[in-house]
Amino acid sequence: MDRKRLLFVDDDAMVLQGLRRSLRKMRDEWDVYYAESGAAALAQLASRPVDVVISDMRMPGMDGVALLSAVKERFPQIIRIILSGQLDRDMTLKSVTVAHQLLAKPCDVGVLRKILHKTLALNQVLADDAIRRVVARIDTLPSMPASCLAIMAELQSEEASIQQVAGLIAGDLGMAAKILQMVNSAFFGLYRRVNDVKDAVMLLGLDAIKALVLSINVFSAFNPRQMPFLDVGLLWEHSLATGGYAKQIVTYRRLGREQATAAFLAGMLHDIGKLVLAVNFSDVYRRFLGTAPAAPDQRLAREREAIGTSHAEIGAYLMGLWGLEPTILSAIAFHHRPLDSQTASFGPLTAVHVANGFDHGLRASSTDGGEFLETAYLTALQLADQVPAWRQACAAMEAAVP
Amino acid sequence: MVFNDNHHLIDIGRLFEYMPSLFIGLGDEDRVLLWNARAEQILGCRAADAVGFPLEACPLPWDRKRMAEGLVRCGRSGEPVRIDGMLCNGPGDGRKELGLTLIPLGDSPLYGLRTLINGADITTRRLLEEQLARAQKMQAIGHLAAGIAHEISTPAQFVGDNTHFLREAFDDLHQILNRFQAVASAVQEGKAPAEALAAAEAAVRDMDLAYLETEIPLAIAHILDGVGRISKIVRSMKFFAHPGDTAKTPLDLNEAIESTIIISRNAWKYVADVETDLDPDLPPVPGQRGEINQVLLNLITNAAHAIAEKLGPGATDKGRIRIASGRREGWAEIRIRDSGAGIPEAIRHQVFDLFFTTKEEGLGSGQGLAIAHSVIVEKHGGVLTFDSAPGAGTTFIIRLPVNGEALSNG
Repeated sequence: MDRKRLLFVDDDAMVLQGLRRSLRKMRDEWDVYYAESGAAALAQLASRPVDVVISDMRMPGMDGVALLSAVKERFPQIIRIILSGQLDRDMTLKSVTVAHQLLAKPCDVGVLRKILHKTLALNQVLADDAIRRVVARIDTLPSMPASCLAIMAELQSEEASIQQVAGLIAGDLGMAAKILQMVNSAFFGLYRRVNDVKDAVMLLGLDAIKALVLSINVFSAFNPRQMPFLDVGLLWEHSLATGGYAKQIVTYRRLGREQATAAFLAGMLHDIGKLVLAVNFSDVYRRFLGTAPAAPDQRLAREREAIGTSHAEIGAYLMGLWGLEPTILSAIAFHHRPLDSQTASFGPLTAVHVANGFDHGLRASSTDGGEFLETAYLTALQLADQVPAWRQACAAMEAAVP
Repeated sequence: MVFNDNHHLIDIGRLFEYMPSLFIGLGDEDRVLLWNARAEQILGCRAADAVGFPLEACPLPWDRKRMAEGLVRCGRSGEPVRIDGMLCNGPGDGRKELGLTLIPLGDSPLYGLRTLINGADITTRRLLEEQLARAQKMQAIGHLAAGIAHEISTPAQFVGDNTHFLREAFDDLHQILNRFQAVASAVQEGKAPAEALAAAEAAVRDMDLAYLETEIPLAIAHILDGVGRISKIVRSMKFFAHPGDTAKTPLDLNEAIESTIIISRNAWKYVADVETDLDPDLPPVPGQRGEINQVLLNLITNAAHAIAEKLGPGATDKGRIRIASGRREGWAEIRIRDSGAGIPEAIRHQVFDLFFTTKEEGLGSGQGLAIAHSVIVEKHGGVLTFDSAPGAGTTFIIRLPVNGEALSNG
């Protein structure tokens, strides 16, 4: 395994020395560097490659936000993390466009190591350096223009309702992913993971959402004319339907609300990589879509050939940078080929794989070309015989919706 | 109503009946000549029971001594005298607070009038002011709490990290020790110790004993340093947030200055260095501890903001805040000097006005200096002034009477 390189930046030398001592045990896996100011950090980055930068927020001269914006511009492939004791809300909100993750000081070394491990392991999800460089620069995902307008109007109105806002955000892939990134950053000091978008909005509160949307502009609308090759409306419908089916399957298995919520989220975000491809790799993605075969199994292979990876890995990598939990990342990364995940039990991945298959089957006319379930995977999990019952549960759900 | 045979005065008296504030007219020897309806209402004393009598003889529910002193001062100086916060047990809903002005009418009295007393019931306004002051205090405490949390989170981080290191270092040392114990056992049992010794030496190398020997004492020193930093902040908070009542107690101003500097550190440390020059012989000054701390906090925060404004965003150099204390005649004096942007000539007369601010939204509410002024001047009989040179900085000067009473009104 290759060594990972980390750079910690803090204006307090004692913090850096404490980190150096407490990370000593990692000396066989990590090379850890330290800088006492933003300028010193940039100078180091110019002379040696680094995988992740972990910076304090308030520092004299260049603060954490300024440093990480510079890193994002000049070294986009580097993962950017804030580790700060600053509780100032405005500063925290500002940092969401430059930091992949926010950690609150004091942060236990054990927790810090775990988070760094998880983040550094993401390179295995997406091997291609050049693609990683592009994806790591993404700070917001585009939203449906109509959702954007609706949420602006709602937030600017005198009687803005948090329920309305939550509903709008929960119906939009880009907004939902961004809000979950924020609420799950250790910064907000929540001790539980939040996978429900509406809960996340409630936890952040209307004031924070207002600041995020109206002054920091974390939500932006895409221009459908710039990517006529992708039917965005269809992508949205398919994503929400997959989320709904995945949740239904978990509910049918009586696995509880938490699992159902995670399955819904994973289903909703499973194709988020397509959005990244359409916006950030539009030329190559357009060419691929123009020649893509309809049969699902050939299609994925062809996508890998054309792009070097697929929407599944790209989506999982970005959501990983944004700190979503591993089971959801795995569901996104392996939703086409669950067998590759080498997991042996039912989880969000199983639900998303099957739900995705169902919805493609129902939309057989679409270019995505019909249902495809990986029989070997379902057989290995001894769940193949369950599929008809799940299908029935999902159909019943469909029937219940007028 | 007015009862007097002076027809002109009766006419004027009718005019005063329409006034919404209290008017009392006094003639020679402070004899009441005029007593308007609002005066009847506020003081619960009919005109019939007052007019024609010396004011002192009227059954009035206020501090007669204060009024008498005020009248003497007014007569002597020939200048209007302001009596603020005159408590009055009028009729109806209990205690009122009155704001009064005694106006001398000069040497050639108008229709026999020598002094005019004008006043209003300021109870509601006072209540609002107090609520406002409390709200500002809560806001300031909110800012302060966030700053203190940041100040504590830093040492908490490295205390935790170093302790974590010590735990792992102890495990390493323990392993090395075990190996050497094996050497000792071998020697005791009369076996050749070479093999055990080689293992022990390998452990010394693997665990990097030299590193541990240098770093363990440093880690311990840093933990103690961090705990020291935290304790200092906590001690200052106790002093600052002392839940003292509003009574004045002998106050060590130097201690107030030092603890305020510590707890406000997050507000200034990125833009300024703070220097102190405190007079160790400064006597205790009677004062309300919480209020004085609040004033010092407001002035230090202002100084930091003024410096930040001058430095501009992203600056790498720092300004300077210099706080000095000393005795000047009957006053204890605190000077807070900053190297900030200074106060422009054009707005100097407004700086103590309530809600006047030049700061960006979110940074200042325009209440800090107004409250400082009210605390120092009104509640402590002190003086709050400033010198400012645009571009070079501002010095705020607080003077508090050492014996608790203002020496003069100058």
